[in-house]
Amino acid sequence: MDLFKIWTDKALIKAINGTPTERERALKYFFDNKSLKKSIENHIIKYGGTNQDFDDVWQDTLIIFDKNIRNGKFLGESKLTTYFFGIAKIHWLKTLGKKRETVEFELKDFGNDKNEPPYEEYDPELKIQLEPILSQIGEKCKALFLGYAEYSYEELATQGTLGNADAIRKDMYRCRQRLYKLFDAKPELRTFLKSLIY
Amino acid sequence: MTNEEKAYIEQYLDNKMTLAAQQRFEARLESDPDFAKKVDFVRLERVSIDLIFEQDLRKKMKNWKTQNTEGGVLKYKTAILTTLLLLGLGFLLYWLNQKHNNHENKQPASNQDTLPIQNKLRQDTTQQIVVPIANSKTLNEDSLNKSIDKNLPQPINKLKDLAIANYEKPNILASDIRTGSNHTTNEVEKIIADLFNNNDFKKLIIFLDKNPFEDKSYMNYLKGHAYFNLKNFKEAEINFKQALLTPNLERKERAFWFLSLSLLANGKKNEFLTIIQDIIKDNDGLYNKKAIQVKKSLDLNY
Repeated sequence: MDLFKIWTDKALIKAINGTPTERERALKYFFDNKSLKKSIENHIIKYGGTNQDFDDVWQDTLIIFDKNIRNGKFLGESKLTTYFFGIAKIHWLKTLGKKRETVEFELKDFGNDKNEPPYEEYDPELKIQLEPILSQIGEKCKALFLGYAEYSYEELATQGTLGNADAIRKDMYRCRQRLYKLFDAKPELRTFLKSLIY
Repeated sequence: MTNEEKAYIEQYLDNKMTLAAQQRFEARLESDPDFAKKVDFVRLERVSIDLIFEQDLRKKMKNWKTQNTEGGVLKYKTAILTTLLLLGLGFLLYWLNQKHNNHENKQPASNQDTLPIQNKLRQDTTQQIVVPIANSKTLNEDSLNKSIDKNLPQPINKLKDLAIANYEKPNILASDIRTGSNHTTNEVEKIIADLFNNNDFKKLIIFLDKNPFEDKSYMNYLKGHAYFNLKNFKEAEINFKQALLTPNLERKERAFWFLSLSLLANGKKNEFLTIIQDIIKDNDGLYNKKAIQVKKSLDLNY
């Protein structure tokens, strides 16, 4: 029962990179973290946000946090909750900047410190362009890609839902080729990549 | 794109190349458009995977939010239902209690066995019995409640148990009460008799305090009974002692008996035995048999 489980940062990182069940538990732990939620809510309200703003920032923060943990961007220089809060602060700063384009904001106004987490947002247009492609690759490919991030084919196979390792390997190859074919059909996609770090 | 090519590109993207390998990679990237396209595809693939994760997590968050909201609503619903249930139960108990009391109050005046305490005791013979008191509450009872409620409810000890078990409240007639020199029964006397016979002891004490009458001894005798029934045995003892200051021999005999029971209830066994010896000696006395019975019970059990 998660209710009684005491998570360490190490265990949380491992779980986020773990099986879908472990991952879900760890992320839900953050989602249900009332004190973290309250701190972020207070911060957003303090800097001109509303409850709706908080709701959006809260969800976006978990998305960015998850992405950073999965992609190894968290270097363990702070507690995970501090890291999470840092992402929320930057995200709100950027959101506010977009909302009030004429007003200049400085990070220091938001209590910024030297160890702010890396924050990378994909170009919204790139997301819009990729969405129809993702809907074309099918649910099985999506499931494979979800598992693919951290698992070997053998490990995926032991989870039991995707078939045996050889079949998974072949399916994964087919999915990737399908994806590349769809990318090929949309050459403009590549222009969005220039602003990306990787 | 082969798996090897993909692994090579990922090495670069993850900064896992030596500086020389990185330079060679970037040189090829500049000169080979096909290779550059492959690199972009791997990068797009990574973005796509992130988006698949994002879509998946957004779905999950939506579910969690619904679950939490439903859970919260369920908690509130449960709390409200529990409160209503408890209130309902409370009202039911109150109603039953009122019904029970009304039933007792309607018992005929000649019935000597209507004391609620005794009924309780007969139902429950265990040592630790919580004896509920009080019938109805009036607006003027607050001060009296303060002096009585601190004693209620309380477990009774064996001597108290024995005293209560042998207590029988006598019923009185309005004509027994003489509030003045006129021998015609007046309204005050009727009220006192009604309150006493209907076991409305709290009201009786308040009424007697506000309407003291000349025959103090009889007034104390009635108050003694009232306090005994309210389980305030200390006050009962005091009032029965004061009632003994009467020249009325029959009342004196009664007051002695009830004083002895008050002493017993207060745990004053020796004083009780002293008084009860006199009652036992009087073979024709009203409470002779009762006194013998209590003495025997006391000798056997305590």
